[in-house]
Amino acid sequence: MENLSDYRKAIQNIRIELGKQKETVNNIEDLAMKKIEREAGIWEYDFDELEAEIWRRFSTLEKNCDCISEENQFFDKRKPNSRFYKVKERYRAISEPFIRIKMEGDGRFNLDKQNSINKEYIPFNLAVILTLQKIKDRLNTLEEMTRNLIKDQEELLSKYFRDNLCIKEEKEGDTDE
Amino acid sequence: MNEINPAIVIKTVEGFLKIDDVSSEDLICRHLFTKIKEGFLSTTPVLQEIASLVSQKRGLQSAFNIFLRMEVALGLRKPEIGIYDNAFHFIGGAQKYGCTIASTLQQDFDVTLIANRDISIKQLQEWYDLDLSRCKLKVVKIPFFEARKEKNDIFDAGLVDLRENNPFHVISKESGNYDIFVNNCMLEMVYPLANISEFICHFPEREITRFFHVDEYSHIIYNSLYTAEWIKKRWKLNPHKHIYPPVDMESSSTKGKKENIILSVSRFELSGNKKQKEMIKAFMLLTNKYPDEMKKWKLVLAGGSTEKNVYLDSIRNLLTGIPENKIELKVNISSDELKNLYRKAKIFWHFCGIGQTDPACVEHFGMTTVEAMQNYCVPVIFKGGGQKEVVKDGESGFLFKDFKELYNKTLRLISRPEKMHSLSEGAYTQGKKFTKKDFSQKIKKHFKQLLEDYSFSA
Repeated sequence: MENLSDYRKAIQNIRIELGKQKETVNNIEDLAMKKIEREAGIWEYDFDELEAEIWRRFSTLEKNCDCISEENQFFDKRKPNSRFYKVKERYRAISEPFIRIKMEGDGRFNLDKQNSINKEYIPFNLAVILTLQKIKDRLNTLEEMTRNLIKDQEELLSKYFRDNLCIKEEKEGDTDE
Repeated sequence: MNEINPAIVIKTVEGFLKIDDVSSEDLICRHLFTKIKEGFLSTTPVLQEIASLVSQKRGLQSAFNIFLRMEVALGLRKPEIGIYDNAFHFIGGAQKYGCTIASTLQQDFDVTLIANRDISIKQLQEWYDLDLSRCKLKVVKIPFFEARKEKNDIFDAGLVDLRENNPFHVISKESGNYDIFVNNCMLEMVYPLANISEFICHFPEREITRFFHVDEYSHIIYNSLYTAEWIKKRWKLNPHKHIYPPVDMESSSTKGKKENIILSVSRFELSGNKKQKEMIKAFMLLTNKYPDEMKKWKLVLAGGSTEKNVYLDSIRNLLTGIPENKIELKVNISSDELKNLYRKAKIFWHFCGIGQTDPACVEHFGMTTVEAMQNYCVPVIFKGGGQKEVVKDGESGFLFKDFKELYNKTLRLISRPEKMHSLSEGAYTQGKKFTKKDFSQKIKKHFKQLLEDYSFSA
């Protein structure tokens, strides 16, 4: 049996020993004994990988087209003030409470609905990502072009400020005289 | 005294380890601490058996953390805090935030500042006018950045290849050596291994990636409501504690003799994000369009810069031929010189955020605006980000949303001395709400609460 101070010393010694052992472990996942990094997601892909993945997963998309074609768009193209739109909205408002009751009673209904939406949403969103990436490329090219123009513009501005001030100072000089 | 059976204590620890949750380590600590208080004095081999059990089931770090906590709980030593900032070697508002935390806590904790590049405590004390005499400094180099040919002063985490290994794990590993780890530079790629971890967020700059670990921290402290809003939007996390940055730039309690100076104080960033060029253009435009009103006015651009700075070079180029009595450039000036400028200037311009669509490029708080306000300098600043929390339009300064509004409001101030006077008083009163004293009180309170829970003294 040990006394209190021995006991405390033992705690400290064990901590120091564990610290030494810890220093020899380089892999952080070994140290914490668990997986730390997340799975790679689409944000980790570079553009080529992302594009390849989109074509691989969604073969129905028209290849090398910036946007999905008109007939694939699932959203309602009717104008919000049209009679059909208003009738549809009214129908939705009336039917919503019943849909909710049905959803509560039968979870599958909700899941089925989600699946049908997602099937259309995923390729649509990926195609949007693709389009944005292409726009970004175009912007980068434009940025390169504008950089030189800005430089020229600044030189002109600087000259303008200089000349303008010189003229004013000259005028003030004349008045003083 | 020793009526408690060690076998039962070990059995209980084994039981806790079956819980597949981090809280099991907390339970083990509490259990051991309670048993010690009840008079349980075991032999060293029993403690070693517990350490070995935890190591096998939860890893070395968990075992280490349990004994680290027991030391503090039993009063064997002061708790240790490691405050990390990858830009401690560079003067800046976020780094001042971290150093002020260190200065506030150095009495009650053993504080170590963790940097990535060489810097001294003396230099930090000079930069921020703080007492850091009890703090230690540890420089942990990151091989990924050291190996790069172009050694920038700022560590850009955006350069990290997300398909390779996380280069910031050298810091993650270092974090495990302290009772409390504070990530002061909002670097989401550092995984915290300490018992308590605090993530100071000045803005959530990047999206969630493979190396995102902010959700592993005990608390997220945020600097402004604007930042909090974006933490929720971008990271889908709820930040915990709101503490505005500390600002103490009051040169004297009385208003000094003011001169016709429009002042800007901002770092000359390579990206040009602080918009000093736009200020030159705006000032020259005003001068040319309203020569009588602007005749006696001068623009002073002050700020820090790295040695090689193409943006600063382009500013110098733009200023060629413009006399210093119209626009003056003050780069890397001393704290005294800066205070003197604040004392003399009547108007303070801050354009950061104008024409920006990226929320990260809008001012997250704006410490220099508050510094100006504490010196009766009327802010005319871009209406965006955290700046809206600092200035009340028409009461403590002016906010503008475009250049037209900037010109109108600046001219209104210049031509109406009574308005200048009332806004100057309003700015001073508002500026006093963001002092170091207030900041330190909030920090002390927060860490005291953490420590009470950590050492079972609550």
